[in-house]
Amino acid sequence: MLNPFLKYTSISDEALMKRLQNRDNKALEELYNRYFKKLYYFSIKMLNNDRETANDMVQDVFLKLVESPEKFNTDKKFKSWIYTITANECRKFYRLKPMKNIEDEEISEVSLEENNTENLTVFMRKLDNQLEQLSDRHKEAFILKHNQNFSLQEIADIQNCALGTVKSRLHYTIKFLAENLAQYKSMLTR
Amino acid sequence: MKESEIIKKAKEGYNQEYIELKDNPTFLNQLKEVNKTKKKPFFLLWLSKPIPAYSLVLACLLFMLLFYTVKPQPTELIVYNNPEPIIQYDTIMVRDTIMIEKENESVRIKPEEKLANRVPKKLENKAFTPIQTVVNNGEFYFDASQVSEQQNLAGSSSADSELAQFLGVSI
Repeated sequence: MLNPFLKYTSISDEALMKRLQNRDNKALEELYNRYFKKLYYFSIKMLNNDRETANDMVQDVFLKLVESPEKFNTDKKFKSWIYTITANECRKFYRLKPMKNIEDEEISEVSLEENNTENLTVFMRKLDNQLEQLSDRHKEAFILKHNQNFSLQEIADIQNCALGTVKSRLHYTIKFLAENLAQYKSMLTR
Repeated sequence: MKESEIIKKAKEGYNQEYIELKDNPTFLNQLKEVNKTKKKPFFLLWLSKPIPAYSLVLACLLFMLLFYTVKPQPTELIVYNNPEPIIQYDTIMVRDTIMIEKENESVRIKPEEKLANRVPKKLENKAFTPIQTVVNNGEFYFDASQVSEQQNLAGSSSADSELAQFLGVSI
């Protein structure tokens, strides 16, 4: 039985989904506030900073959520479920349209003499570029772990694989990045 | 470059980018509109899912039919001991004691109860003078049964007071 006196901010995602299944607009608003921006940013990173496509993709995910919320099993974890859907959509798009790499020339346009914030921006562009060299699963694991702060088990649930596989993917990705971003060490420590 | 440094810088950069990212509030309103249109009134739900709806009604009817027709069977045997009331004079003795015999064990549920005249009235014995019955030339005659009764009440202490005892007069 749904408690009408409970504050929406204190309700769990799964309980909010139950309310959304009864077409509760406040539950929808709360879920939107909790996840839209996070999923949008996750999609941007997965689609190599293509903001327009990422926005369309997350909007599609939310539309599907509103049109058929009964597809969600309230016994399962909502966070893993919604990220799995978004990641699948990103992977589909990834296969259809390989991402364009950011050229090193573009990066070199930013002067290394400039302030620390700009250095960080340059580093992020270089990081995105390096992540683009990896498989979608490796990139996804890295973004989920260090951008979205997911636990290893949650990543394993989203990627539908063993915990060891996630550990291995993360280890490989970090090793790869450490090797390829070594030239930017002086820029970051400045 | 150290791995921990990369992770630290990546997290820093991700946080900065996330803060700068703008939300899309107009899309939320669109979603709310879609959600509103998807809400169905009760009778439409009835039409859209007729099998569960009719099953529910049939189940309710079956339950009502069973509820009003089938009488429940007794599960315990209750033996009422002396169920009829016993009337003595103006006192009504209501014996609603229920003796339940269950596995050779008798349980007394409620003790018998008197509804009126709980304390019986006790009459005191009073001394009385025997009634003279016949008077003939100054002689009195008494009823022998009354005389013996009077003697019993007063008791016989000595021969001198026999007459007084006989007459029931104190000397």
